Amino acid sequence: MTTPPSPPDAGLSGRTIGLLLGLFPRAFRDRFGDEMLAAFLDQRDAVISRDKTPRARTSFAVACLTLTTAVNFVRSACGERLGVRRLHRSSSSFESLPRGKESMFKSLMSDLRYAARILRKRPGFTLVAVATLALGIGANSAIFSVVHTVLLRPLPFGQPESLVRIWETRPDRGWMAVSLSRPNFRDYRDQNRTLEDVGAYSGTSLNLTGLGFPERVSASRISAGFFRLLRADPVLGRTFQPGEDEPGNENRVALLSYEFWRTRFSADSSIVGSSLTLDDQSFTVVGVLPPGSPWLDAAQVFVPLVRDPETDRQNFMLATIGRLAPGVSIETASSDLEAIARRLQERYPELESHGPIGIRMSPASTWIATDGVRRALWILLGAVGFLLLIACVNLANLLLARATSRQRETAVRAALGAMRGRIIRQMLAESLLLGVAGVVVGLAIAVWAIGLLKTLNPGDIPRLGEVGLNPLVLGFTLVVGLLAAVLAGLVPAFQVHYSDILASLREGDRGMAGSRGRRRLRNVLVGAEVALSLILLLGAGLLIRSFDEVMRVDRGFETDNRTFFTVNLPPSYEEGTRTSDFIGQLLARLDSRPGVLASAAVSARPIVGGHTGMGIVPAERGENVEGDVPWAVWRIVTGDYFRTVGLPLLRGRTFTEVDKIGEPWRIVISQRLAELLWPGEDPIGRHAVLWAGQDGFPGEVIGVVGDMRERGLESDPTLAVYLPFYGAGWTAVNFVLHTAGDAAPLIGSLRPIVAELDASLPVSNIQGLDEIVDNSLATRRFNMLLLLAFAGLALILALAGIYGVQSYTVARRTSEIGIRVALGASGTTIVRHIVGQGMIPVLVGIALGSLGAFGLSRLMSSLLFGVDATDFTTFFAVAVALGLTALIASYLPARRALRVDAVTALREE
Amino acid sequence: MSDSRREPHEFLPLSHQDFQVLLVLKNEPRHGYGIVQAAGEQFPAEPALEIGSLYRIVSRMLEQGLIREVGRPRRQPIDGRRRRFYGVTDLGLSVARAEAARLRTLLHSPQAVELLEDQ
Repeated sequence: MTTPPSPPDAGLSGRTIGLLLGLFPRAFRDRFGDEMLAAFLDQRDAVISRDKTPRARTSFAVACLTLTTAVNFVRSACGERLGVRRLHRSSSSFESLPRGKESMFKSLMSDLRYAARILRKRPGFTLVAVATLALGIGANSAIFSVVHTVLLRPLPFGQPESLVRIWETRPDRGWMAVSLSRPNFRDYRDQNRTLEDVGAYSGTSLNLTGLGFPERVSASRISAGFFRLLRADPVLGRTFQPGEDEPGNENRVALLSYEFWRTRFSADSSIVGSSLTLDDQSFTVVGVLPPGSPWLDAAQVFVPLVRDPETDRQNFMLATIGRLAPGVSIETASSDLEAIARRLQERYPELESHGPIGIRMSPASTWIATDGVRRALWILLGAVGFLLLIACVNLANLLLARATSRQRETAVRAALGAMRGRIIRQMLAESLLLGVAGVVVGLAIAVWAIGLLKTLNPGDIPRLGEVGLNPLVLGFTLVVGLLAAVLAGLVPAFQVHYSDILASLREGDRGMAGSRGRRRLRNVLVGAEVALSLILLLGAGLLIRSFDEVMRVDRGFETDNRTFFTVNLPPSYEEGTRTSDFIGQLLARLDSRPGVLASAAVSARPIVGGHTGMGIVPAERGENVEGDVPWAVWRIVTGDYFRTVGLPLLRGRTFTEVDKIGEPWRIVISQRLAELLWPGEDPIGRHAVLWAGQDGFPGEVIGVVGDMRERGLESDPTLAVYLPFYGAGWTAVNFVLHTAGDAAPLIGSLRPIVAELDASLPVSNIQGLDEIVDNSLATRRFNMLLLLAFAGLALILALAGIYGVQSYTVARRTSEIGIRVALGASGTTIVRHIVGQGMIPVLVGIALGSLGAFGLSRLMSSLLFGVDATDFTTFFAVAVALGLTALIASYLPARRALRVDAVTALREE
Repeated sequence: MSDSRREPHEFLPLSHQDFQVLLVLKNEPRHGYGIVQAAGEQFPAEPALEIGSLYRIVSRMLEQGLIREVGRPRRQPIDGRRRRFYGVTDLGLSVARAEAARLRTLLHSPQAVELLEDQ
């Protein structure tokens, strides 16, 4: 189903109508779609320009116009698809229809018209019913559109089904996804027999100069055939040619990402052939990539990964992809590469240090979203599914109550000769109309909710920016919405029994308290609503508890008034002591600024800084690295780093200017690492082997600091080795400032301070440490807020359901209550009786919901932290909270029974 | 395929919506919204024409040869929106005339006149 693209001035109303055009048959749409949309936009613009009244009223008028046009479109599209040639009521209307179809259509239209009249007569009921459905439909539509874009939409590559991502594994160490070293990549590429091609990618960043203010751009180095392997054709120019990644050839060529070309170069179509200065070197732009994800948008600039003589097989730096040869399965290709890995381990003993090498390949269908995102999205889709079920049950309850109150009307119609089928169809026509209105309003809610989701974007949900309503989502919404409405309508419709109808005619109003069966059905529906809500509330409760646990873990560092920024030094700084000199001078300048309490430099930021690691063993174990080797994160720091980020120095001392990296190897280690290497002993002055199993440098411990969670708050405290910055030659330098108050006034002066030392150096990525921590929790917060919102909606719907049923019961039992009062029952007794009866389905619902949640707990456990999926406290608290709110919802209408006057009630009788 | 071989009276009676469309196109070609707008102004007592229904009528009338697509009139401003203009054909005019005559006969019947005089 394709729809014409909406014009730029379409707005939300135009887009909604544009999407609904998709309902018409293709030939009709192709011929009239554009003009129908134009006619609607003309009509809308006329409403806007005519209405000089306040904006809110204009918006209301536009919404009404959109709604009526949408309903008309649905009706017209159905007519067009059914092949009904006429729209009017004249006798010739159905001349081209076969007789059966004609009468069916006529009676359907008449049912729909009657249903519309009935619904218009009871605006309160209609509003509640449509709002209930629309909430469920809108939430489903929004989450489904995210799931569709993120998980289901195919990748923008040719034959993506034969693409694989390739990792090595080291099962002995528990490393299940290791990037490839350059030499291993080359060997796999050249020796395999099962892959058509293999490509590699390495992320980096480069200084872009010569175009105004220097800036840091994200870049990646790729093997020459990378995009050819993906079968992604450039929108301009070409991709890299074979040999452009070979040393000695022309390597100074660059590709631009579509977004970078569009925003930084205003989509200049003559960009191909022009030159860019990246890290002081001139590159020629040879092409612009198409838009899309992944890989295509992974960097702003792509340059060739030039083959270099590096032989270090332990430097895991290349993301690798491959294309399976025709007819080859992932398993065959993995075995092929594993055989190569075994040969490499035999030839290069250093590859043995982490145990046997395995190969893991993941198909392209899993590239877009990580397992965590995938699982969270399915859980959220499940949650909105529950919400829709609750909305459906609530609507069924509303319709059931109304069917009971309209029993007399139904009885009269039956007495006048209406068949049972016709009466049922009439009821279904009403729920169908409610469904259509629910879909239209639900779509508007979905559009709003998608906007909200994009604003809340936690950052690690890929393609979220591309999420929007499309024909598939529209179809899903229509099907789900109409199905929900019809299902809800079926419940009361199939309660229509002639025996009841005739009984109600005989008994008059008295029989309408509802038959026992109908009352039982209402209780079952309330129970179901409560059970479903409880499951959602428990999910939300467990996520809230997890979030609280994460926030309370001991981070090891302080976040208040700590600000990071990055300065990337070009290769020319690698000569002599230029890097150390620059860092020393910049830190001195920063320290002299008012309000700066401390400043330091570090090779990588906490949490987001990546996992540079080394094996480390006590020197006593010598070169023998058999057995378990502790694996520690290493960071290069200046002496004040620990003080600046609030990491306590527990023993020994920190680095001073005399400590130069490798001369000798002096190190500061974290407390857990010290205890692991020398349990119960003083580690100061002890010697260890750094990069054990690799280069094997001897190191001396000069200090011990507290533990911090370098890999994020949800990981264990990290084993860490700190090395001195002096003499390190590290060029991507992160500076951190600890200020007395808000760092904002200082941030503006950072660029000038750096420019005083070197005007060509860009300052990038200015970020508070609290912001880094906050961002690392964004996904958890996103999941929690969404599930909480859905659970909140579910609770409101369930409470509304309980309240509605109780109100209805009290209203219908007025005469019975009157008799009880006349016989001497006290108000309290009556209220207790009604509340008691109302609470029975609630308690059953809570019990069943708890069982259901227990059954589903396994699904939730991967999203939890520090709390068990069957945590008793959460279960108990949520059940009690739901029970109490249900009690209130049940009590409030029951109180009305107190106002029943016995005499009046009996007179009515 | 056009139904132009059919006689005008074979199209009768017209629905009130079909009749409105032919009437508003009688003197000048109009586009979709133009038809809706003119019908609203000229026949305020009739139910408003809605766009989905209108285009089904337009589609059918084109097929029956009652209206046809015409070029954009000169004085019409050009903007980015895609519009087609429609004008009534000779057959369409004859059908509208026949419908008007039919209605006139009905309205001039003694019973109708009597009803109108009672008002």
